[in-house]
Amino acid sequence: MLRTTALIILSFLTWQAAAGNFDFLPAQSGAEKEFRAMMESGDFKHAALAWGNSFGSTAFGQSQDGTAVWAYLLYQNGLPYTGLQTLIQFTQPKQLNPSLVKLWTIELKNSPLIQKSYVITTGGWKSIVFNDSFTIKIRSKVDVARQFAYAQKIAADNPNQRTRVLWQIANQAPQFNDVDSALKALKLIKESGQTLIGSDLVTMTQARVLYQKGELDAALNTYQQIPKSSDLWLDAVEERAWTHLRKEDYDKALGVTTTALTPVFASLATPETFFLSNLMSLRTCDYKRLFETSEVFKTRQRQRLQDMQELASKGSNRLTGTLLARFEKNGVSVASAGPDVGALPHGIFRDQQFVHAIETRRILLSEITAAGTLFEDAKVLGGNREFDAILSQNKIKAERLKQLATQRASKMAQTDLKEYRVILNKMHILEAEVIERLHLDDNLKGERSKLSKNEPTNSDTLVFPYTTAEVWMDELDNYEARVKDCPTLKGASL
Amino acid sequence: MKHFSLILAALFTFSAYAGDLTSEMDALGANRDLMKKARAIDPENRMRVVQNREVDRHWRLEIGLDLGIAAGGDPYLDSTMLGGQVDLHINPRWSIGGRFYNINNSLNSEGKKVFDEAKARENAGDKTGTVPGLDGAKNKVLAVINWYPIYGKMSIFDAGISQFDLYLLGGAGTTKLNSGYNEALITAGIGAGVWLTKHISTRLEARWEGYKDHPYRGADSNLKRDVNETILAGTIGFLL
Repeated sequence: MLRTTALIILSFLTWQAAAGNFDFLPAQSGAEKEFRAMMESGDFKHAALAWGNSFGSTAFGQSQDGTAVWAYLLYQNGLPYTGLQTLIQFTQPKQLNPSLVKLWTIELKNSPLIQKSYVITTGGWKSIVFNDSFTIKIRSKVDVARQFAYAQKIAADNPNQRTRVLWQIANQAPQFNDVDSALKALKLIKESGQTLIGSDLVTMTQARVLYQKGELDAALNTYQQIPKSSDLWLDAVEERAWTHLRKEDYDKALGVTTTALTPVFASLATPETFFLSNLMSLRTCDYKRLFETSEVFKTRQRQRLQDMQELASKGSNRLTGTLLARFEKNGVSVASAGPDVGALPHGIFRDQQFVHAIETRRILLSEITAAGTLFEDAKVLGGNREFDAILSQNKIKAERLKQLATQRASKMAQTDLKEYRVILNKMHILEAEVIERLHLDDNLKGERSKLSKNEPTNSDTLVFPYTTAEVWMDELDNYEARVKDCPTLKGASL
Repeated sequence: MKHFSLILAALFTFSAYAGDLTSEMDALGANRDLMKKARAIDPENRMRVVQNREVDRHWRLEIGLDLGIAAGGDPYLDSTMLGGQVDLHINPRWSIGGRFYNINNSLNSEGKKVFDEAKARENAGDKTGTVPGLDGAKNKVLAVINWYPIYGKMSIFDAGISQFDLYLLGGAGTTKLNSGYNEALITAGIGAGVWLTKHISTRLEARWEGYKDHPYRGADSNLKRDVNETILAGTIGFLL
């Protein structure tokens, strides 16, 4: 309640402050005076409608100050993307009235479109908010040190901007094995209070870097921090299984793999999960399970493979149209895709290019509606060609973004197909190994080790039997396995 | 033309490449005899589900509102109970608690018949008939101890999964009778506690209660009668 009240008061004060900063506007003619009054009272809708009559053909209207004011009106009237693009493309802060720069500085720092880099700042606006991290290339420890120093210089009250740089260090430094710098960058990101990168993704990246460093227990603990509600949870489960396998802890690896391969996640599981399961089965000589998993792989992944083939070759498949429509409505997420998620390439939900294209298209579609309303309202005042132009430009841009998203999805499908090829080859190699062992390995006549004892439980834990017949959602990630080692003749003779 | 040929060639190559993948997938486990042989070598690995309790019950207080009926006591009375309970969960296996019930007694159909007949006889001048003595309980106060040895979980209309415990309980207390006497009361029974959320529970309980009442009048008014009741009760609880 206190927080809400404080927010209301703060919003009111901010509005008051914003509403009174338009002294720089010309106020000679009656129309100009009226326009200024509307701006000062915060009546931006009527100000936008009156813009053409007040300043449309004046020197001020054509100046950079005029453009910045027009951009501000668009920004305030449900056209933030167009407003920001107009500002950044056609104005330079040095050429603007200081009041306008101040006004826009606040908006730029608070704008989600700027924070999420849907609109990239250029020119002089980069000195106010720099949000283009795509150009940062880190190839050596010298680059890392330089970027850390650069991040340090960024004001502490702008954690997102600092995070853009640190995130590049976290992702690029491990490529030349500078895992310590990556971990340092991730730690700084976690402590910064930033809102740019999802905390789950930061945690996931940290776990991956720890895995690369060989700190397997720390990696496992970090993977465990990814909540079940996260889109990254299933990836974390699979990577935990790899970590257990690397530790040669087959009991835990099997338990975790069972979760990753549960039918509930059939549409989300990647081919690598099946390979992981088979590799583990081979290591523990569980050939029965290996062949069973291969059968499951064929059953569950056939449709997905066909979808990827279609998407890669034709640029669309049986479900892409439906899925894109859902993303346009609800945003890009696994939840939006629902049970049809398997028809899309793996990782598309975190692909910057795809998400950027779709999310920007969503914004533009919403702006088309807003511009349409303003266009209709402006007709009463004699019309406004600007809104008409925005409408047609945004429609073209939105269509272009749809094409970009489809092309990106198609390219990612090609990558997925490459992964299928690699995984299928590996799975065939595993099968060949099994065939050889079944024919030649005398150890199969030996005995396996005895099962390890069940881990002790207490009154806080509940133990239930495992069954493949039905999956209880609450049991996911709670499977505990006991796996026998490969048989040995030595063991048999003892 | 050259470009066109190149594009066609690329498309054919891609189709062949893609087609290969499907057949490669089909080729997995294609050797049925071998699969049969592999399946015969079952390592007999074991798997079980080990999960934590959804509701922490260590030194946790549960308060509840009870509604119940008593059966098998006085043959002429229907008794319903409304009450409250407080349980302190020491750990998931044990809890101790206190219960208070207010009892509402009313004549059942058999009781009404007997009383109506007695009244009719009395109106007809027949003084030989007697009205049976009644001494229903007015309220009950109990201290109980619960032991939860069995647990399970259930899916509620596929909307959610709730864990539950089956428990045994025993307790003692007093009952205040309509005759004005206070008598000792003992109870024992079984119940099921369902932990719907971290803060809401529900219990269903069946238990035996034994106490003595004073149904006799006149010179025999000090005589007591054993009452053995079966209580069926439901509770909505809140875990604090």
